[in-house]
Amino acid sequence: MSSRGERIPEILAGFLTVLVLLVLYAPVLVSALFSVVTIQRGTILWETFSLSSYATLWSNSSVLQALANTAIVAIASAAAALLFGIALAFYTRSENAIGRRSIEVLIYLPFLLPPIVTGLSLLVTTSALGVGRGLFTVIIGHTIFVLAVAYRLVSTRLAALPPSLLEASADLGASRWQTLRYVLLPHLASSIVTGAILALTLSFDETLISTFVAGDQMTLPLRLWAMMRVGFTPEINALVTLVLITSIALALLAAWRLKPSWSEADSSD
Amino acid sequence: MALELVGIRKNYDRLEVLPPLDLSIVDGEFLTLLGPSGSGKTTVLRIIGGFARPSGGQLMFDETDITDLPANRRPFNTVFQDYALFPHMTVRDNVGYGPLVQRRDPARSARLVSETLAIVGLAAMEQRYPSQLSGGQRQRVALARAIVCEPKVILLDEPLAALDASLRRQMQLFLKDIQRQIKTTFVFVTHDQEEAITMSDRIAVMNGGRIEQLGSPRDLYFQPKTKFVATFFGDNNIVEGVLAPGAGEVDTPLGRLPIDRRGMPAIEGRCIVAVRPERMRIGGENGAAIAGQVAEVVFSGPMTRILVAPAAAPELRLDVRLSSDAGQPPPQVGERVTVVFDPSDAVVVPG
Repeated sequence: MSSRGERIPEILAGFLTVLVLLVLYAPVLVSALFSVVTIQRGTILWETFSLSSYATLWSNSSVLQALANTAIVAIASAAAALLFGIALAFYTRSENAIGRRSIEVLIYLPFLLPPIVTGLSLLVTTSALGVGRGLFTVIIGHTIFVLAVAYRLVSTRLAALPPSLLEASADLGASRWQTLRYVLLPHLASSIVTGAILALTLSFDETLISTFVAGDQMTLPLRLWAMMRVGFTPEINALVTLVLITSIALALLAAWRLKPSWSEADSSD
Repeated sequence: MALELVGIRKNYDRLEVLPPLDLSIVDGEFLTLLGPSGSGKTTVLRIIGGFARPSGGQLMFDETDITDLPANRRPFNTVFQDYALFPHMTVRDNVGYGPLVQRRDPARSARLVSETLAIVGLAAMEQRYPSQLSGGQRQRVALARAIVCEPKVILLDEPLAALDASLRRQMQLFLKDIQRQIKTTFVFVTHDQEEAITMSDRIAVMNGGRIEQLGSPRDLYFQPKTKFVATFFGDNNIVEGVLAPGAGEVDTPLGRLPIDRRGMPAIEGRCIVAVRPERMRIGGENGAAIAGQVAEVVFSGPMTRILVAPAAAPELRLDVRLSSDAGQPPPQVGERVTVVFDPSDAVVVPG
């Protein structure tokens, strides 16, 4: 029923949305397209379609090594961050916690500060202490970075636990360890899984901290960076596409698990 | 004596929520801690359960000091107000949790869990999760989870508060029945005086952290010792007055009311006269008489409630209950009547 004049803002908003999506995703699509076909002077040569660049990538041992390193770093830092996150959440949510707010600020800060600060300070510290840089230092850097996410998820879930559940467990004769095993960890399970996925996602494409502390080791983003300095090959596009697909898949998984309805579902299935 | 609280007190920082309190709970009895919110009844229960540390005093069980025994090593189990069922465990696993963490013999435990589920009528639901149960069923699981541990005392923290009225009445009888079956001491916390009267062997009426009166429901109902008990416990006609030493009459806004001092503590000065509505009559001879006018007549099934505005103090209301099938029709609104009661039915407590 609306008149032409009233619809102008709607049309404008729709146009802008399309424009933003185009600017955001066109380069991504082009990059993905480049990995399978050749494009010359703006013309897509469909007859050149081949997956050979992926095959080359697969036979490139330095890329495979970087992929393995990334996996090691992501899993190790996610596991470490969750372990520390759970321990810290138990402390800050306990009745007698001293300085809960300041501890939380300290946990969240590295996530909000420019990663360059974390990377640089870690670099300075390791060289001052004479610690060799490598995967271990990358893992430390990533752990500091993703700890905020792991802590946040676990502590929020922990806060949702009715204190009477812990009292009931003790009342029925359970020791602290039994309560941890049978009541606390099952309650936290959903947040631990979500925290792990988010931590893996963040660690997977983290570049800046890695740049400072990786030493002569390569993670996937660092490998990509190094390859681009040498020359722009279809392999790079293939790698970018793979990194993209993995990141998007992990992010979607995390987003799906973070849906508020999920916490309702876990108690009834 | 099964359970004894000796000078138990509780402070939160400087705030005293429980002045030193003594209470003896007899083996096998159903004892209710009754009081309004903030009266300290839940604090007492939490101290018995081991969830709150007393700031002083001793908790004795069968002549052993258990004040410092942690909750998981006390032979008591609690039914929590919010039931506190483990949401990720089935009904059966919830009930089997106590025997599991106490490392009891698995075969015997399994049998015991099945028996207990049968007692509370949930045998068919043992594979359900708490979220799939109704409020009354959750309540039964919480009770089963406590009694399966064969505790010496079961502590119940307002367990019926979340249920609707008809289910609550049903559960009251059910709880009482269970208690008779398992012959365990029940310590029950509630703010609902009707619930307390229905279920308890003894009631401790609490107010401001103190036990105002401890006794059988009948004692508390007909022989309240304090103003608080007289007003909190059931409907009552209450009027303030002054009692001369040794006198058989109280000066009140309704005039001089005769009272029967036999069996009454020596009270003088300001006092409260209380007469139960069902102990008052309309018209008749012997006893104290108060003239007034009928302000309202409310039919409520077996009883008819008549509110009378006394001539001497029309802002007050006397509450009179008459049996609805007394044979004669109730008085009409506006009718002038005389309210009569037997002086021995008047309870006088310090004001």
